[in-house]
Amino acid sequence: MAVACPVDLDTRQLRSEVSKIYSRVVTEPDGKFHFHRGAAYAVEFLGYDPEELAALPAEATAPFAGIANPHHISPIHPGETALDIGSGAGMDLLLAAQRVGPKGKAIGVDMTDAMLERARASARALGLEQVEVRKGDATSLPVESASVDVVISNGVINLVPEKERAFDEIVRVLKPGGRLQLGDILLDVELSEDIRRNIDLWTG
Amino acid sequence: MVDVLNRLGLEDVCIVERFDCFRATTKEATARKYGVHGANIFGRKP
Repeated sequence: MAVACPVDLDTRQLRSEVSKIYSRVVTEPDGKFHFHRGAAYAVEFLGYDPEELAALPAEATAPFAGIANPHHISPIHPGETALDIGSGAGMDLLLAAQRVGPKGKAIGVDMTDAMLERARASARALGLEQVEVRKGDATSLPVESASVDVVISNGVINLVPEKERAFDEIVRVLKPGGRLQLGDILLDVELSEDIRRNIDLWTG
Repeated sequence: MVDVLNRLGLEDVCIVERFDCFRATTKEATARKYGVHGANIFGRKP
């Protein structure tokens, strides 16, 4: 699997396009996109618990655009520190916060202001004081080294052009024995350089 | 992806589950062509 983007890909433009698209997901979750969104999709396609999602604010679940289910991989325990990379409107982050409980911490990192504000508001609405939302991106996490028990992420790393740096950051922030519970895109075939250079295909 | 995570030194790396997340979207045909799907992946830092 190729993990680096072509050298002439404009990564700044790519980040800008990704940010625009996912900001639009927040403001128009029922708009036209090439990917599914929302709680019903998460339940039907990805196996999320409908009762858990029904208990979250619609503002957190409607823009959900993950492509897997990190909560299905391994339990997240009370008292742990969880980090959600690309936390978006906060659905996975809020579920993680409920699992770690008041003695734990759930940190969300996202590069999109609209998503950060949405996740903060939902955490406040649920009274989840263990939630911290920080602006940043996967290649430079605003998180102390060896401080995290479990890193989760859902459909984000595939959008990062410098994947090796993102994975280095994940290893840096995990405690020894810490877990990566990653939901992401896999491909069965190697993509050509032309396809990997096409920003429209990166962002949909 | 599994190879990359193994190279980084993570242990117990595995694909736990796969998801047909582009089914019934406008990109379904492209996803089928390239075998694009969602997956749950696990790894542990030694």
